[in-house]
Amino acid sequence: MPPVFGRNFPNPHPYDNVIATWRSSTEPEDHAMARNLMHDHRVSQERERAFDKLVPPSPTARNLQHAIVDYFKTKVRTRKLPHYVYTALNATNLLTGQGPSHPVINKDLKLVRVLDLNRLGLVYQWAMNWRNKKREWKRSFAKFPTAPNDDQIAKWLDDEIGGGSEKQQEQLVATVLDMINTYSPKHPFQPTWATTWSAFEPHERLGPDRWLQVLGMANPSSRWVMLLRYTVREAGTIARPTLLDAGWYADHFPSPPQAPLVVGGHPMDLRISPRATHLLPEYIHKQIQHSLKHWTDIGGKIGRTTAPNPASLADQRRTHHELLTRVYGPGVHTWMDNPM
Amino acid sequence: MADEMEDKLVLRMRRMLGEWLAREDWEPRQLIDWLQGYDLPPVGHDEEPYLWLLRGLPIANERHQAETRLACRVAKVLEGKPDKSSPGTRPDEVLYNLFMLAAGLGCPHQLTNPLYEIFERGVLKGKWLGVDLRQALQAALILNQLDNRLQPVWESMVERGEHDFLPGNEYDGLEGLRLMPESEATLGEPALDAIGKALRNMASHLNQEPDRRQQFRSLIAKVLETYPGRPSWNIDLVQQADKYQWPVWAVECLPSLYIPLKDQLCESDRAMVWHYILACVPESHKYEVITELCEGYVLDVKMSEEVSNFVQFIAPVFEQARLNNPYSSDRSVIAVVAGAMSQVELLATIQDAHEAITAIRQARRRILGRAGVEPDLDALGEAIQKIAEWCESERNREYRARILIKAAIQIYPMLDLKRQAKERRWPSSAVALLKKVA
Repeated sequence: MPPVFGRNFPNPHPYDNVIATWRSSTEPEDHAMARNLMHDHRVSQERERAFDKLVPPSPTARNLQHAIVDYFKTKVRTRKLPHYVYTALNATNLLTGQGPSHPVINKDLKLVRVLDLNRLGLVYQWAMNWRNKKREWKRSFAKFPTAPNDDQIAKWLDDEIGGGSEKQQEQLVATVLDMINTYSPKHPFQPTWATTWSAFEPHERLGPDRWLQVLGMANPSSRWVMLLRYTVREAGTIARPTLLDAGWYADHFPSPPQAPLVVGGHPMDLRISPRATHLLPEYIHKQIQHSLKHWTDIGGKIGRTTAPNPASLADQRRTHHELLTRVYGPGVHTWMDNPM
Repeated sequence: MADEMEDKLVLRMRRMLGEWLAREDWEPRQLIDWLQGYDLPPVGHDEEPYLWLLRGLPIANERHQAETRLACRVAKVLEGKPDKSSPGTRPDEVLYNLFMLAAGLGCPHQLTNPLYEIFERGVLKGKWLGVDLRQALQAALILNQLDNRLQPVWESMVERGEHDFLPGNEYDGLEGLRLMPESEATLGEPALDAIGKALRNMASHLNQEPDRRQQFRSLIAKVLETYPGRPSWNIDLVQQADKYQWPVWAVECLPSLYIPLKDQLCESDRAMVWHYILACVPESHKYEVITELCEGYVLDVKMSEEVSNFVQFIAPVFEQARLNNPYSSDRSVIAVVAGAMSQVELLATIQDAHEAITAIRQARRRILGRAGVEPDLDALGEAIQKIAEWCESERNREYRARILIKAAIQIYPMLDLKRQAKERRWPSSAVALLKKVA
């Protein structure tokens, strides 16, 4: 029987049938989810037990998909303290901020995240309610659409950012950050995904399409994205992510057991030609309060992506698997013989 | 090739939704599950399920049919009273996504009635990730209007900035009225009276705002963008401004205050014109005021061909100046108009149109005088005479004196120093200095 969360016990496992169903599917995303479920050794037994509480006995593929969604929405996204920050559940993945012990990584190390402005529709909508709206936000949101869909948010952002001067861009960024800072303490939206600035910097100059590709962020349509840089110290508790923190998301790829904890995970580069030669670290942390300085300190990087990535998921996963093998050796094949 | 231009997960979503829409034996349960993120492709959780369902609709010619079919099924779920029955594992998530899907579909024939019933029941409550569910219902109601049954609701928001049940403010109310037809028969046409009245109320709300002109212009622009290509828009707006007694500053925000009525009334010599433009018409040129609109700030006039040509010639200068005025005050308009008049005077000077020059100068003096910003030209001339005499004793003062005199002439082109020098008998050195500056 296949492993589950990188472990071969119990054998048989209640998820065996689900894995068999996904692996026999014609959809590549289902294969990816099956492989992630089989090999993500980073999900601790304690965490598996917490997840299992949401899974019915002898689950079907549908039951397990529902459980992954439920777990993510109730135990990760909407919690002020999401499951991944607890030592009792996630000790093997915590890097900093979990207790009195010395941090593994330097607390002044710079992290960077990509903030996708098109994906903040719900936050904008919350901010549009006059009970939540601050006077300073009014101007930027005067033309915000009533029912934000892809096209309307894109048009609004194009008008506000694309058609504006640098000063107007800065004003909108300041407004958005203020809005997120006001929204997030009341309505958590976890986790925040980040990498180190030093690893990301060579890709920065290649523009927003590359920013998303290198961090494994799929984009179904053109979008406005910006970079925010801050320190490990500001981020508080930092953890290595697991598939449970990504939820029902096929572009996630677990890191192999050979990868040291300090590098966190490794985002799957969505570009396959030219191939990536280096792996980036991947961390998660709770939402933090962002200042405008996080944006301006790196020169106020903001841009619009152009098109969705044409590469197939199977090719992306194979390429990433090969890179993992090159970096960590043939042991990667022992851990995961096939990425699909 | 076409598939390469689309995201892979969007294509999968389309296949999935297409198959479900093609089935006759569908169950509301599947839609409810999708709306809480179940059974979707592994798309992650950064965006709400309704967005993925909208992305799953086909493009081009197949879209309309698919939208209608999905709207019928959304209507079915709405008719099941989900506001009372709390469907799904996370009812608030289902309801938020259900209403936002309805808003995104915008199919009033299918969705107006079931949405209105939920509104009328008035029992909806709850929040999804901080967003009030009534806000989502409001969005769905705004975008699915078959007639004007919600007009009192939108008007209450515009007038009072709130409503007893829905959480909207004056902007939401205007949104409702902007997209509301007067009746099913006039679907796709603006409810002019409702919009005109709402804009008047918006002008009242914005009255004290430092950027009231920009804000009001952008509200008007949004209304116009909703119904593009409507040839009568400019006339409609002036008539609405007149009918609902918009404040003067709001009238000055209208997209056009020189509206030839040739296309609408087939009268080539008739136009609606901003009164400042007409103020520049020489007295010998005749025109007849048919109606005074907006308290006389806009005049519906019948003109001779000569006047019509003159107005047509100068109006763009005024229009450009008016629409670019970023300041909120009434005095700023006086400055803008005086500036436009100076430009027009220059144009008239180039063409040697002496009668026009006189008329423009008189008009400018009138508006500046009325606004209390007209300078005392005699006092100014006297001061300049003193400056000229002051620099007579020391030659190195001449440079500074020339700068001052030049600035005065530029700011007040109507300052006739030559005449004043003659009348006041300036000393010859002062006259010489004046000649140098000139």
